[in-house]
Amino acid sequence: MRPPPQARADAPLAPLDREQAVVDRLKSGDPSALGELYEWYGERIYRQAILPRLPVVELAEDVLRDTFRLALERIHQYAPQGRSVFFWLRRIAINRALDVHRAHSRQAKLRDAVEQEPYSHTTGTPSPNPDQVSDRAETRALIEETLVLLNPRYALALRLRLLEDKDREECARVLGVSVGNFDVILHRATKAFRKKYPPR
Amino acid sequence: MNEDRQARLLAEWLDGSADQSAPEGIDDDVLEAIYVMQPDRAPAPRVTLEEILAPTLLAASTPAPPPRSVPLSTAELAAALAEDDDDEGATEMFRLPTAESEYAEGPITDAFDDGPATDPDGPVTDPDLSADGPPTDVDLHLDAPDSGPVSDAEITATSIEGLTAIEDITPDDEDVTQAFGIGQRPSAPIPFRAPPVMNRISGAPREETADEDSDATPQNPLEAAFGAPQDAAFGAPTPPPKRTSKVIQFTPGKKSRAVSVAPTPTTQQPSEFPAIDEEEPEAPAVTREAALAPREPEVVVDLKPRRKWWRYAAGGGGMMAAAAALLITVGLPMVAQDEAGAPTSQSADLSELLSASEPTPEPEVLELQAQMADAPSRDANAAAGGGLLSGSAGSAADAGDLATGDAVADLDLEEEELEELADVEEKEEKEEKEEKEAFAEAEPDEAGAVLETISARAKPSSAAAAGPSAPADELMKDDEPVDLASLRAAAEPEDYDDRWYLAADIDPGVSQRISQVMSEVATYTRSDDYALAATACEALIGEDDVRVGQDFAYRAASFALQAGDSGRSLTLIGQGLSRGSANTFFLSALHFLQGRILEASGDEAGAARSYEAAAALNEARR
Repeated sequence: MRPPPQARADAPLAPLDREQAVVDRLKSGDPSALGELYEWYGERIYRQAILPRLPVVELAEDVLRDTFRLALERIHQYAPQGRSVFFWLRRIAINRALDVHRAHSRQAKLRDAVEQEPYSHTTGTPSPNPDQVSDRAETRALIEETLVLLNPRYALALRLRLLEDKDREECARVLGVSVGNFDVILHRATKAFRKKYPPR
Repeated sequence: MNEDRQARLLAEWLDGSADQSAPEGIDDDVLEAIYVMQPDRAPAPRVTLEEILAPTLLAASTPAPPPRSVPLSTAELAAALAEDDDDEGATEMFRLPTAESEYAEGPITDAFDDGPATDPDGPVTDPDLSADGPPTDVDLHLDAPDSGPVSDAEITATSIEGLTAIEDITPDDEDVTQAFGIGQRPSAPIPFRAPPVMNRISGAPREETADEDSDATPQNPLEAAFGAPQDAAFGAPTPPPKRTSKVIQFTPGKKSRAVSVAPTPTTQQPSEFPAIDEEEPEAPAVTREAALAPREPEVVVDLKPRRKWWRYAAGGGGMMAAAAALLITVGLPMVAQDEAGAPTSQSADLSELLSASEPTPEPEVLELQAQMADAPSRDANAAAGGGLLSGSAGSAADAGDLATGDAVADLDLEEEELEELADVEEKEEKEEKEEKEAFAEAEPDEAGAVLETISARAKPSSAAAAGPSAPADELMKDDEPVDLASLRAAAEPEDYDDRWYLAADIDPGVSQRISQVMSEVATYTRSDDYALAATACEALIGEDDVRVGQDFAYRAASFALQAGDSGRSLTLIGQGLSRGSANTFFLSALHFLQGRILEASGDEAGAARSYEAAAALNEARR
């Protein structure tokens, strides 16, 4: 059994020529080539595209699996257009996440958030430097939008500790509390955050 | 696991490296929030390439495994019950080409009589389906008919080479790989033991096929999971459905089998892990001592009717006292708390209050009076609470334009807690309340460090060590030289701790603006752009809430001073002072900062006046 992909989410995208070779193999009916794509982009798509929109691990894994299965089935529809196949896979992942949201009507807010994502983010004009393109900015925007909805003190705790990676002592000092109390505040803040996330 | 324990686990996890797995016991909501903001902390996906490829490569013969999000027991049960549904059915199948090639003789050959003779190993062609088609596997789900060429009796009775009698199969003989592909989860089907094969002529079970269990009623999967349904009228088990169905797998070179249904474990069955299944112990009951312990204040005016709550007011009472008495009279509880949220408390005589407002107390009030008479300790608690809280109070008597009375809040928190826990309908409300209380409960009095920093920013080189502090009134005698150092010490608002003013009663819109400004300030201060930070704070000086205005005026002035613009700082202080005379530590801080600036600029008289004002406010709050 092949181990899970080890490529980190912030690894650079693969060179386009190598991607093209893999895509050609897939189109010629060699499903094993999918393994290379999965090694390159599986974890990146999971962490950057799926998980921030669908933070339930089991559902996110289902979406990841379906994403690459659909990619294999529809590889003949893919046209490179001078940019990485990552963005095509990413679009599939987001669409698949939308399907999952529909199936889980209880999480209607999540569905809306995915639907309302600007289309240009994923299929618009290619970035002049695709390697530097990251979902983090989009995710950060969603996070910031959510933080505004929270009690400002919770928002500050989350911002300092999780977004700015400040240590507990500094966070506690800024909030004017003891470290132990800051831990409790952060714990409650994360719960409050999840209730509001995604914000739309 | 209680909240403190979870919070500690979360903190320890976040202190570790990103590749550490999340500790057990943390709520899913918390983990999911962490995964959103720090996706690198999420566990690596458990999806394997085989899982991805399997449905595609095996689509012709194997249904896709159930999604990971579907519990395995559910998938198994669904598969077992979906035997009539081709879309969800089991992988047990009857392959036409296989059967045709292997069983050219015998009763089941009738099943292929309609088609033309074909190459046993070639594609199946059928004139009814038009032209030659691609090689196709045809799945036949056999419902065991009572008669006919494919009846159970005929199938079983026929000796077919390559097949083994059902009864000869042992679990060890089962080829698991025939049931699901590599990398797949064990999916459908969950077959169950077939009913005894009956002789069509005699009607008796055939000896050669009847086994020890042949007399047993075939077990329904639902019954296996949930127990046999009982007849409502007679208490007798409902007879099994007359029509039965069995799934038989024929595989070339393999033994046929009919596998018993293993009851799917459900929550109604005894757990194999009783220790794990035990519910988390509930949070320990709130003790009266804990409930009455001083809390960090928050501003809440709660008009929700509650039983056994009472409030009374006295002291500087005035309108607040009358309002409290009126609310008590009409049965509405009132929680009047100070700007920081503490229930301000002074001992008072409820009977006096009631007599002043209502000559004929309502029965509920009389009951309260009786309770008060029976429970003098509550008065003591109220007084003690007042004593404890008075020091930190921004006070409901936030002088002047905010409030004019000291409301006394004596409440039986233990009863309140019990009521709230018992009232399911108020659960949501309770959660909201807990969130609001988080700030108060989690913030002990650890003030001063940041204020010292800010003070240090404004401290001119000439204003060095402060002298011993002395009461302000002693320091301000006209015939004595002004001791700025002592004045300064008395002017420093000890109850100011640089916390953002985030009382729970702030309008949500204002709260959002505060959050935005906090974010901007964090950004600007990181880049040492204090002038912009001052500008960001200045935008909120005009907020309707006086305390918000004072807070942000002080912050704006501090940042302006840090940016080196003392003139702007004084202007901002003036804007803050003009917001009102409410005696808050923000107001004291404004006066104090003003004094520091004036002192540094050589205006000792002006500095002394500012210090005097701050000291007077401090003393009044004490």
